[in-house]
Amino acid sequence: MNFLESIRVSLRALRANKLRSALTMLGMIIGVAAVIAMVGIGNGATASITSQIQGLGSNLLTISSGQSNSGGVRGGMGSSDTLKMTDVDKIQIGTAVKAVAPVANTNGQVVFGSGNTSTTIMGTTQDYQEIKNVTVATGRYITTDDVDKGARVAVLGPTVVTDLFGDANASVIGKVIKINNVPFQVIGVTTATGSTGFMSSDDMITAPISTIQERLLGKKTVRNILVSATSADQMQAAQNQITAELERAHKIQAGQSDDFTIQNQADMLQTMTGVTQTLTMLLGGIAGISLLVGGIGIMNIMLVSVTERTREIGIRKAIGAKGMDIMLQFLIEAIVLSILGGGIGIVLGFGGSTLAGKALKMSTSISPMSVLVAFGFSAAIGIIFGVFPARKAASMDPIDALRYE
Amino acid sequence: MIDLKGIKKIYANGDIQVAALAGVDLHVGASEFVSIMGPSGSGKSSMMNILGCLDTPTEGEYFLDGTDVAKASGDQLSVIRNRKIGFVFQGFNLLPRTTAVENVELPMLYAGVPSKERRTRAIAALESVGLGGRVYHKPKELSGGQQQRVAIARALVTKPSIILADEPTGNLDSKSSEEVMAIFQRLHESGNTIVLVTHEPDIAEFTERIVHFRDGNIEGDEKVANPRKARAQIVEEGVAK
Repeated sequence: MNFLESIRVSLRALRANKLRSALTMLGMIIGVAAVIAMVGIGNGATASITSQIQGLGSNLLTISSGQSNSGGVRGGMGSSDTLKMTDVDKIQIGTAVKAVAPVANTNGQVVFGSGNTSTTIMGTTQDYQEIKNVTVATGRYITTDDVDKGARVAVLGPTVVTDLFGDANASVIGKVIKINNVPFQVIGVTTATGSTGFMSSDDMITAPISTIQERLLGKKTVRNILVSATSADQMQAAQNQITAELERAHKIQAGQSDDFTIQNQADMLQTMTGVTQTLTMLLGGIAGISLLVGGIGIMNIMLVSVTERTREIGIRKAIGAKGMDIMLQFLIEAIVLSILGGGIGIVLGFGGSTLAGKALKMSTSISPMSVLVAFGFSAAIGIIFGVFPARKAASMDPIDALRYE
Repeated sequence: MIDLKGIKKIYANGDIQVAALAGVDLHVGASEFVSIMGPSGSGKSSMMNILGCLDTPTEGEYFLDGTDVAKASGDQLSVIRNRKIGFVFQGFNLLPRTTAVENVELPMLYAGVPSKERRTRAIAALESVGLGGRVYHKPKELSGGQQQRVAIARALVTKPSIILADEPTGNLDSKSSEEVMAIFQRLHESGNTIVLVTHEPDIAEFTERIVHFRDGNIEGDEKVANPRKARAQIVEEGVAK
C-alpha cells in the first residue's frame, strides 16, 4: 500500500471519531499555543525594555556616589554623598566625553491653586537636555544662566501639567507654582515621551540644580552625574577617563576602593535583557511541559484506539495488511493529530499573544523561529508518542485479533 | 493446489503440551469444493488457521500452489494471504462505518491496485453476489445474509487460489444460509477452489467432499455422491443507483 493510501485510511479513521480526535488535539493545541504566546510575550518584553533603556539617552554613563565604607559597614550605591558639584568640572569634555550634567533630585509636593500633586523634582543643568534628548513642547528649557543665578524656574513634564492644571493643553508658561512651599515660575513643558511608571520622564519637574540644592535639599550634594560619550565605541574610553579624573579629585590611593560607581548603559541593557530572556525561557519551558503532556495524551488515546480496533487490525491483517501497513496507519493518525493540533495552536498562540499584548499595552513579537520550533516539536511528539501504540498494533497476531470481542 | 504433509500444531501451555494437529496429510486439488467437519476440539480450527496462512505449523510441510509456506514469516504470510487466499468468516468481519464497496476494495488496497481499477472490480464483485444495488450501504444497514455476501465479494475480488470459509452460515438463518451456499456452489462451478469449515452436516452436504476431523487427526475423507443443490435463487437486491 502506498503512502498516500495510508494517509487516506488514517484520515478516515480520525473523521469517524470526531469528538475524540478534537479532544486529543486540544492537548497539543494548548501546548503549542502556550509556547508561542509565552515566547512572543517574552520577546515583546525584552524588546520594550531594550527600547526603554535606550530611550534613557544614548551612550549614557551614570556616575553614582557611594560605596561608603565606614567602620566595616558597607553601604549600597549612593549611600553616601561623595559626589560634589566640583567633580562635574573635573570631567573634561573631549574626544571621549561629549557632555556632563549633574543631577540632584528629591520628591516634592507641588501646588497650584487648588491643583496639587506629588512628583519628582530634578535639579540639573542645561546639558541634561542634550544628554537625555529632552525636547520642549512649549516654552524653553533651563539655561546655564538660570543655574548660575539660582533662578526659581521650572520645566514641567506633561503628566505634571495634567495633574496640576487639570488639562494637558492648559497655558502654563509664566504661572507660579509652589514646590514644598517654594514658589517657582513655569518656563516650559517637555514633550510627552510615553514612558510610564517609576522615574517617568513625563511625571517630573526639572529645575536648575543650584536652586534645588539651596531651596529644597539644603545641601550641596549631587546624586548622580550623567555623562554622554561621543559614540558607543568611546564608552570605555570615557569610563576610564572619568575614573582617573575622579580618583585624582577624591584623592583615592591605588588599592583603595573608589567612592563612586560608574554604570554603563550597555551593561544595564545586557543585564536587563538577560533577565527577560531567562524569564522567556522559563515561561517557554513551562509551556513546553504542557506540550509534553499533550503528547502523552495522544499516546494514551492511540493506545485506547488500538485496543478498541483490535478486530479491525485483525481483519486488515487477515486480508493482507503487513505489519508496516498497520504501523503506518496508526502512526499517521498520531502525526496528523499532533500536526493539526500544532497548526491550530500556532494560530491561537498568535491571537493569544496579540491579545495579551493589547491588554498589557506592550508589543509582542512572534519569531518565525518559535513557530518553526513549535511545529517541528509537535510533529516530533506525534512520531515519538505514536510509535509505541503503532508498534503494538502492528505486532498483533491476526488470529488473536480476529477473535477479540 | 493444497498439499499438507505431516502437519503438526502443538500448543505449549506451561509444561503441558497439547497437540491440536497430530500429523495431518491432506491434498485438495484445483477447483474442488471441500468441507471440513468435526466436533469442537477436533483441530479443525487449527487446520483452518494453517490453511489460511494465519498461522504456521509446528512441524510439517504446506505447499500452496507449489510453494512451501510452512516456514514463512509474518509479513510473507500477509502477502500470501493477500494474493492466494480469500476469507469468509462466521462473524462476517467487515469494517464497520465503511461502505460495502470500500470493504470489498480493502484487499486490493494492500495489493497496490490503483484506485479506479479497485472501484470497478469491487463493484463487479458485489454485482456477482447480487448486491449491485447495495454498493454504498454500510454493514449496519445490511442484513446478515447481505453482509456475508459482501464478505464473499471481498474474498473473491482478488481472484485467490482458494476461498476459505469458516462457518460461513453459523450466524445466518436457513434461508440466508441457502443463499450463501448457492453462491459458493456457483463460484465452484466457475472453477474456484473452496474449503469450508462447518459443524452442520446439512451444510456439508452442499459440498462435494467431506473431511472429518477428530482429536487432531483425519478420521474420514468421503466423496459426496450427490451434493445437495442449493435451490435459492440469488435475488438481485434493490435497484442499482
